[in-house]
Amino acid sequence: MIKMATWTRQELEELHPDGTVSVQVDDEITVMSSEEWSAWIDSQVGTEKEPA
Amino acid sequence: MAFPYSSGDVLTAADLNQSSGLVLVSSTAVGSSLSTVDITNVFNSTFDNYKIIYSNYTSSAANAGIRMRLRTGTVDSSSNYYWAGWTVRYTSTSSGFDRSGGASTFFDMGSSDVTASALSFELYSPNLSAFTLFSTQPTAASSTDQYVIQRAGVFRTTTQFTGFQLFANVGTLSGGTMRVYGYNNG
Repeated sequence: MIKMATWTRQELEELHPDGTVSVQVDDEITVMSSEEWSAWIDSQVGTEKEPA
Repeated sequence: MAFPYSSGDVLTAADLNQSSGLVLVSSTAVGSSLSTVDITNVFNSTFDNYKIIYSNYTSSAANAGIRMRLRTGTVDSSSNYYWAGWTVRYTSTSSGFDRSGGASTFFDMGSSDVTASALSFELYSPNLSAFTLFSTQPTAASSTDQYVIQRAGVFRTTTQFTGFQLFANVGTLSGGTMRVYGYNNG
C-alpha cells in the first residue's frame, strides 16, 4: 500500500500565517484569533496530501 | 390561469408564483482565506428541495477535499452523514471510488483546487421532517489537472435544517459566489 505524505504544522503555518485566516457567516467575515488559528492548524496536521 | 399564457391575459400573484421554476433564495459573495463558510436561514417551508451553486472559487491546497455540514440556526450537525461517490482525474492514476463507510461527521462533496473550482449540488427535504439527501457533481482544475466527481448521500435523521456550512479538509476556500435556489413546489 502506498503511504501518502501528510501536512506538517510548519507547512500549514507557511501556507496560512496567523492573522490571515477568517470565517464567514453569510456576509460577515471575521479574522480568527491567534488561539482559534492555532487550534485550526492543529486540527489539520497529519491530513494526507492528495497528489497535486 | 393555465400555462402557457396568451397576449392579453391578466396574471395574478398565484399565476406568477406558479410560473417560477427555480427561485433565488440568497446570493453571497465569498471572501478570501476562509476556514468555513456558513450560509444561514435559507431553508424553510417555502420549498422542499434546493439547488446550491458555488462557482469561481479556489482552495489554498491542491486537490483539497470540500465538505459540508448541515445546520439548524447556528448549530452544525456533526454526525449521521452517509455518502459515496467516485472521482475521475484527467492526468492522475488516483481516480476511483470513495465512501463514508458508516456514519461520517460531514458530507464529502468532492474536490476543489488552486486554479479553478465549481460546486453544484442539490439538497432534498432539508427543512422537512424527513431524511435529508444530497447529490453533487463538482469540478475542479489545477494548471495541469482536471477532476470530475460525483457524490450522493443521506443524513439519517429527520432534523429540520435551516442552513449549511462548507469547508476544505485542509487549508482554506477563497472567492466566488454562493447562490441558493429553491425549487418551486408548484
